[in-house]
Amino acid sequence: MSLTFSLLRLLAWRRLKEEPFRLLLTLVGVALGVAVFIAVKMANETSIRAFENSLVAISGKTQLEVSAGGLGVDENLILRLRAMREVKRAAPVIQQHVWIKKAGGSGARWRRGVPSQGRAVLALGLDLLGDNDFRGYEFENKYSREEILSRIADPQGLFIARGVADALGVGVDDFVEIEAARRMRFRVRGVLKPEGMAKSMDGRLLIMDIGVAQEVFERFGRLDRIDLILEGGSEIESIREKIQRFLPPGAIVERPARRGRDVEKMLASFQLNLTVLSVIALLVGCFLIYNTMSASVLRRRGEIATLRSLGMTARGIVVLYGAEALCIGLAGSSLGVAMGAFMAQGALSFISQTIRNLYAFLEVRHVFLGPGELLWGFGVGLGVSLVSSLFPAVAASRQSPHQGIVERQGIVEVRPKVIAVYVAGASVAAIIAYGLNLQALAGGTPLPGYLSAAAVILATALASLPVVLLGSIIIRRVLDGVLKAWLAAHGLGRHPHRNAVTLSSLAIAVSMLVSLIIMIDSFRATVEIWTQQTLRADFYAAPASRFIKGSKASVSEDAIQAIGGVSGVAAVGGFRAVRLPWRGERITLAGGDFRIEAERGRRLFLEGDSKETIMRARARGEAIITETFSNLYGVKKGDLLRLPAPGGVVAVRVAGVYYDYTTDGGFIVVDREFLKKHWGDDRLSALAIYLSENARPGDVRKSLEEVLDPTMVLISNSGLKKRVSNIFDQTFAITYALEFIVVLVALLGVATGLSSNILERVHEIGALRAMGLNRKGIISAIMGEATILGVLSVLAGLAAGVCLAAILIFIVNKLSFGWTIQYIFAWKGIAAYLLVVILASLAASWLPARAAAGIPIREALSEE
Amino acid sequence: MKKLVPSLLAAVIILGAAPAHPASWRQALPGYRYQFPRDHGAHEAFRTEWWYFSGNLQDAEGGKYPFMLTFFRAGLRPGASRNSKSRWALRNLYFGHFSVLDAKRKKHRFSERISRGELEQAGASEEGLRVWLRDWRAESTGGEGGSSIHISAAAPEMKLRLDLKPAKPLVVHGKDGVSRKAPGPGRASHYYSYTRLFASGVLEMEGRKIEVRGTAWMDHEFGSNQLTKDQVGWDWLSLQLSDGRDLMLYLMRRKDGSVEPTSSGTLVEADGSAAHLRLGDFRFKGLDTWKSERSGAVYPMGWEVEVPAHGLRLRLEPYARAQEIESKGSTGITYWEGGVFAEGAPGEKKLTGVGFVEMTGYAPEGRPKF
Repeated sequence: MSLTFSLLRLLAWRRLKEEPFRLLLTLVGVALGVAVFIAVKMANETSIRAFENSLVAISGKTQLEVSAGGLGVDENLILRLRAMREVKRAAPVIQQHVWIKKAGGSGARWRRGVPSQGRAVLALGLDLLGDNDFRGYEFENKYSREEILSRIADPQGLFIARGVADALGVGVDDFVEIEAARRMRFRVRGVLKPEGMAKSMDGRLLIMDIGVAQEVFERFGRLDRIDLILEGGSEIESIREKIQRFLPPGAIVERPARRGRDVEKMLASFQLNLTVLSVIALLVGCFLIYNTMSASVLRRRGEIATLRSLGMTARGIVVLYGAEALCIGLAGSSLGVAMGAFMAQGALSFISQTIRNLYAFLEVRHVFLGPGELLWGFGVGLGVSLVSSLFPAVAASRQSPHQGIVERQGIVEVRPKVIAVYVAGASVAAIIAYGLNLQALAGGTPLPGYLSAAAVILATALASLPVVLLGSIIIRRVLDGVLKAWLAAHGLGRHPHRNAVTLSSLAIAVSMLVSLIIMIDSFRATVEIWTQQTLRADFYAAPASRFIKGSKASVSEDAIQAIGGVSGVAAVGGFRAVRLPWRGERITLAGGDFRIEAERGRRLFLEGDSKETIMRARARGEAIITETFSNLYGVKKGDLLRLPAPGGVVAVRVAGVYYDYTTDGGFIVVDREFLKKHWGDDRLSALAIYLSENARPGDVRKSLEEVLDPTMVLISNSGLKKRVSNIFDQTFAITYALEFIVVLVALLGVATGLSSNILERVHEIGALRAMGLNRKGIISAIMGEATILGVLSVLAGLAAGVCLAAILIFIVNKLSFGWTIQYIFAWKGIAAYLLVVILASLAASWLPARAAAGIPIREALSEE
Repeated sequence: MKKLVPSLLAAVIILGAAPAHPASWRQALPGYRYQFPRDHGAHEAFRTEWWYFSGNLQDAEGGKYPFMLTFFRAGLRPGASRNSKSRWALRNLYFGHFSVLDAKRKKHRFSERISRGELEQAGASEEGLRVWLRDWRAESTGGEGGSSIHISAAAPEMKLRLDLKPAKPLVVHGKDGVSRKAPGPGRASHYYSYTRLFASGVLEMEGRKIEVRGTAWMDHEFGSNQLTKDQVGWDWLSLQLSDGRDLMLYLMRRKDGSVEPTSSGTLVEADGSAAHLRLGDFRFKGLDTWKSERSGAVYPMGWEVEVPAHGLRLRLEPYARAQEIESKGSTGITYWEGGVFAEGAPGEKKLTGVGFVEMTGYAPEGRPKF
């Protein structure tokens, strides 16, 4: 063993001296792969953890909680719960989101029609006199008891966490304004210490007494939740069942942790997408190591032969190369962990923004970097380094002493049988990929889709050797007589294995790039077509706090009357969305004005006419559902949905399924009159305003602003479309960022691949120079080789990317989110990207080419 | 402020030390004109208010059961809007204290409650006598202006339901409608009593259902800033005598050990006519002491009561010494409140009586701040 180490030290040191450039590139590549992987992992985990921490802190000692989706529970239920022997304490909770601003300060004026002003915060309404058994919180200032009581009892008072105080620059007894059901002015009656609950969501939290909260959110008679603490020694599950039995339909009692699982589930698809991308970055990093190690093995055939002749065992060779890979892995992983910790912060801000846009209120600033996470990233980096070096190391150990000495002199020939094996392997992988897709579609789960994508990538990798050889042959044939081109193609064919590895890593990166471009472009185009066709109202109005995702904000339906009276307004449609528990999950039930929908809206139904379907649904008390809902829950047109309502279960038949891209959970829509009748809820989440034909939008907007409550945000049709488009871009920003890194790692692969080629061909280059090829010629030949490699990679990647895009669009997205996306191949954009990749691979070859040209002829020839 | 509230509740009554809005609470000032039945109800303009019932009950075998049931209302912010549609809107805290002594078994039980009045779980009518704290209640029967009163309370192992019929009209204490607690405007309360009520009903203790009868007393008092900082507590006495007379006395004790000169009393004749007693008109003094092991407080015991101008010389003894109350879960006050019996001093004509004594401010912790 000690011999191996001394040998390793000797060889590795020599290599470092000989090839510092290539080693550095390999290290950076491995580090980037590891960095991306752990950055995404940490950012994902931090965001989930932020949800869970806030959930734990906000539920405090709550053992069970009673809730009923968006409509909340009847407040009288708390009395019944308190009367139960097993219930020790029952506390009311109102949990909402609001915009908050400092009152009177600069920027204190609320601008009309701007949905995101001030800070979004979580607002909790609690029984501040009786809540201490549930949640711990302390004021920063010391107050006498009578002072505290008086502050709590202030109907215009609230308490903010330190995070809000800092963000707004306010302190105790300053005034703030919040936008909830109405805009209200409050006095900060206390600042909570950043501990426990007041620390969650980065301290973006305020609390107020439950009585004040009901007033603020116009939630009279209802509570969002009732938290329970049970008597000691109670069997929680049996009490849960007992309580569930007497709860009205639609109300559920569950452990608080349950909501954490809901959040995880909600984010699972989104986070899986990112994880897959990060794993690809890591895989490309693997190829890089594989590439480097293979080069190293090829280059040292002679050395290996010598060692073997001297009696070193095959195992010794494996250990030798394994140890070398370990060194690269150690250095690369250390660098990667450091970079990853840094990149995680950036990834977190992207991810949390997307979560805020699409899923739920989330405030989290700092990545959670535990030693465990760092160790995990480090271990993964090390692991993949070793695994990637396994094949080259084993290949090296199989080499016989004789083989090495002979082959060192000549060209590596690839036997036709070997090529056939690779072609066959690639074909089998492709067939498996196809089969997996069919299986995914049949099973309705996206997992085989991911496996299928992996199979496509494998097929690409296997196909790269035949592609390299074929490319080399074709170019040599076509460009017969053009010396530099011939040389370039010859160079390519001379080391097919190594070049195949370089090609495959770049091709895989390109295929990912192409597939993402196609997927995102297709998605965007689909959403654009959809918004053009379905967003038909001239204005939309919604309470400002509705723009905080997860908000339950609503306004009184009086707004319909008020807006209807404005001259120039032809029709106003109210829209209400509430969350309901259903089949153990939470779904969205919406109420729309079907009469107006039928006349003026145009939803795109999978089958059937919009107007006819909606009118029929209205007449028969039926529902229409989104395609996403239909896909996720396997509900079809004509099915009967049994929905929990305060008065009992309401059975609704599905009149039609329509395309919708607003949420990934999808929803059920019924006529709002039907919703009012069965769910007793007459509030509105949003309004659609249609103008009469000759009305002037500018004038109508002014009149609308006069009648609408100032907390209502008015968005024009084009404004909403723009908003949809912005959110779309923000959502995919991280995807692009990750993809950029993957391509970067792949380009590093091109550079290292070429540079090892050159080192291999020092003698040949010397001979060429001796025969009269000048330095420029050498540079052109090397860069030509890079160009050919780039073009071949791009072609292979393009072919694979088109397939991957199909998998992403028709399998992964459809089955994860339920969206139907039209496959659109925007060739111009793709061509531009691919040109950039080819140019980049050209640029990556610049340094190796110059290095080759710089080799003195005599030295090169005397190498032997 | 560790854990916002429990200690805070342990505070009760809030009210004395640092009034957040002193100007806004209505003060108890001379010239107040009572209007019944409205004045039986709550007075939300005042900061503090309580409805107090105590009495000495007896079963058929002669077993004695002194009881006390008190409802407190503590206003949190003066002028708080009553327009909120929320049934959780916070205006008052309500506290309830309920105690019964089984004199024969020397078992003293106490139960307390607190509520913010959410979902009408506690409250007090402003029209007449109707005050409740979950299932504890006191109300005029036959409407809020009715002549007899029903009280009921239940706690683990004790339950009381009583009908109270006034044997005399109510008496307003003090002069000019105010009962002074200290010098200065507003250092007073509005205070009236039914000094003699016939009580009958059912007491349940430890599973036994006992038919009981006896005499009871009701106080209703409201004010805003009665106590001054140099006062530590009070000694109070109610007594129903065998000759038909009733007596109420109180001494406001100051930190320096002296008695507030505004302390006073009321003597009610058998026919219901009442005489105001100044501090100089009576003597009310403990001849013995009793130390509570639990709180460490040392209370006077075995009192001597004299009202010379009315020919009264009495000796008072408690039915049990251990009738101390620690209200950690509501008002936070530790006090002694117990049934007593009276006998004429030796050599006097044969006079007996029953009553209640209340002593506050003896425990180092849990002094009142009304």
